[in-house]
Amino acid sequence: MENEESKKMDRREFMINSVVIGLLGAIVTVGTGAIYKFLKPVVSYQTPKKFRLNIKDLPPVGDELIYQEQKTIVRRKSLKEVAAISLVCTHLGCIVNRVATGFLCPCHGSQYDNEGLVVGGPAPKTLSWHSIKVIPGNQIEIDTGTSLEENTYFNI
Amino acid sequence: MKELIQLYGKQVYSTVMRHGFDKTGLTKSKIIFGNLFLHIHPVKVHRRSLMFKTTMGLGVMSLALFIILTITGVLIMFHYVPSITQGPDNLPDAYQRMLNLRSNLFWGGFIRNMHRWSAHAMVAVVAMHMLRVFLTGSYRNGREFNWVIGVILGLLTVLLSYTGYLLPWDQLAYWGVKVGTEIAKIAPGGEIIRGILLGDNDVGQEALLRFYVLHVAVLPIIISIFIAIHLFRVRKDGGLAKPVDTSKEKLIPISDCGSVENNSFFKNCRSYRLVEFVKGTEPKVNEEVEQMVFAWPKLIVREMIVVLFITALMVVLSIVFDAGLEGPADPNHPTNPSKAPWYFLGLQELVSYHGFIGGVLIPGLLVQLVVLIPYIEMFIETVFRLNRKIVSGVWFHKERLLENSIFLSIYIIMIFLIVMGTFFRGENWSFVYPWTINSAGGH
Repeated sequence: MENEESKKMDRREFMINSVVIGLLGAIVTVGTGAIYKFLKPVVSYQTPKKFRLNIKDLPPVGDELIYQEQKTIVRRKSLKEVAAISLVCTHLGCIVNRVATGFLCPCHGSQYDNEGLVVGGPAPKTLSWHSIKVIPGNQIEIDTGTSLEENTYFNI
Repeated sequence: MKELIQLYGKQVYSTVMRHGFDKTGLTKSKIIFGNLFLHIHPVKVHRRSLMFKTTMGLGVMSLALFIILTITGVLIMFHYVPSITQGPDNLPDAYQRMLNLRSNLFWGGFIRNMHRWSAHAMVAVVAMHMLRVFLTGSYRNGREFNWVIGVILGLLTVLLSYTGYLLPWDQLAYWGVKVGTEIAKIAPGGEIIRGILLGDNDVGQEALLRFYVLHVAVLPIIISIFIAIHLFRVRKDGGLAKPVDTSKEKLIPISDCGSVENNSFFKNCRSYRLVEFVKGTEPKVNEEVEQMVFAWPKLIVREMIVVLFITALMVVLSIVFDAGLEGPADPNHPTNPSKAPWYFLGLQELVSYHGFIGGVLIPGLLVQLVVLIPYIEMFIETVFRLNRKIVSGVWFHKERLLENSIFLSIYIIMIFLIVMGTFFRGENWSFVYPWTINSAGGH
């Protein structure tokens, strides 16, 4: 009888302990998840991924123009063909410099040729070529969030 | 009347302090355990704890630097705003505040210098502390877990330094952090961590705010808790690591014991009384009475000397050298070369060879190795039944030749890479000699 009683107490204690531990665990888990969701960015306050240019402002045929703010270089092959190349180094995101032989990254010395192909340094892949869309009002819209193959020109 | 006033004075004194300052053992004990800040020390410590070569004061130095950093940091907080909103002079607020701190405020530049140099010094001192603990084998014999906590403290130190690095919002800060957070992208799951850390898809206002909160609130609280655990465990593991048997070592001369009055607790300076039975490695167990000395005042004074030394060094550094401040952060014009803070330059040097291997794989494995090294040793000893005695508290013990060589090599390679990244890398990360172009960055 005595033994039975103490066993019963053990069971009760076990129940209480497991409920307490369970609740603590639940609070920690839910709390961690909630904090994660809370801290996860939902709104970007930075430069929009897409930007617009007037067609008449584009560089002349065979020339190119750098848009520092958008980290993009716009190149015009012919009257109708235009391309946009990212100036963000594919290695660690520094802004590459335009030089006569192509592009050079000042951070870790990645080298690209004029088409953005890697010719030296630690960069893992070619500079991104962006997609271009003609929109009403004699404008084009460049989407800097895209990453296309090299030599992707768009008709305007 | 005079007597009554004296009596009153005595009563007031006894409400503040429960001991005098005579040289009896009882008083020396009371001073230690009656004081919140001193009672982390045992009443009596081993003679080795007083010697410079035991720790070189590096642990106390780290703590002292942390306290200097907390004080100067709180002072800077009174004048800082984590905002990149352009002010009337077309400068980001945070940067404008740096200029204000440097040029307008009384001793503002000095406070900032103290904060900057102490932060760098703390990273270096913590690294040296870790090397000392390893080379003396002090992390073995039951102290393995405290080593793990120590490594966490080291990582927290670097993280604190790194989050503070962005706050001035100058070119150096911006591009240092930019390069650092891009490395996170390469790691598996790094994109999520980076998002949480930056609060946006690039370094900007959100990142500055988050780094600020981490730097002034989250990380200091976490590191304080870990410091407490670290010190508590050192104390509970029996104070500074020492060989089991030190009876052959030089004894403390009787004259060093100080005068001892006959009281109930301490008949002479080398006697002690077993107050309770304790199992394990408590200082009172297996105590070598002959080698023990009162912590007050010898140990406390030595600690204060270390604190004064490092404070003086930081003051002199802060007077002589100004903490750098470049132009305001410009996301469109990277500095050439862009260098991370110096303790990351070894990493950046590795990254320049290969993004994933250098930036994630090697450092990841290295951190894991350093965290687990006591348990790896333990594993090898257990599985291969190596019946060896691990001697703690002895520099370069010959039983530990292999471990010491490996660990020292890691340090030498890291230092080599850091020197390489700091002094031998110029424009476009190309190799230069430091004496041709001034390329020293990463302040």
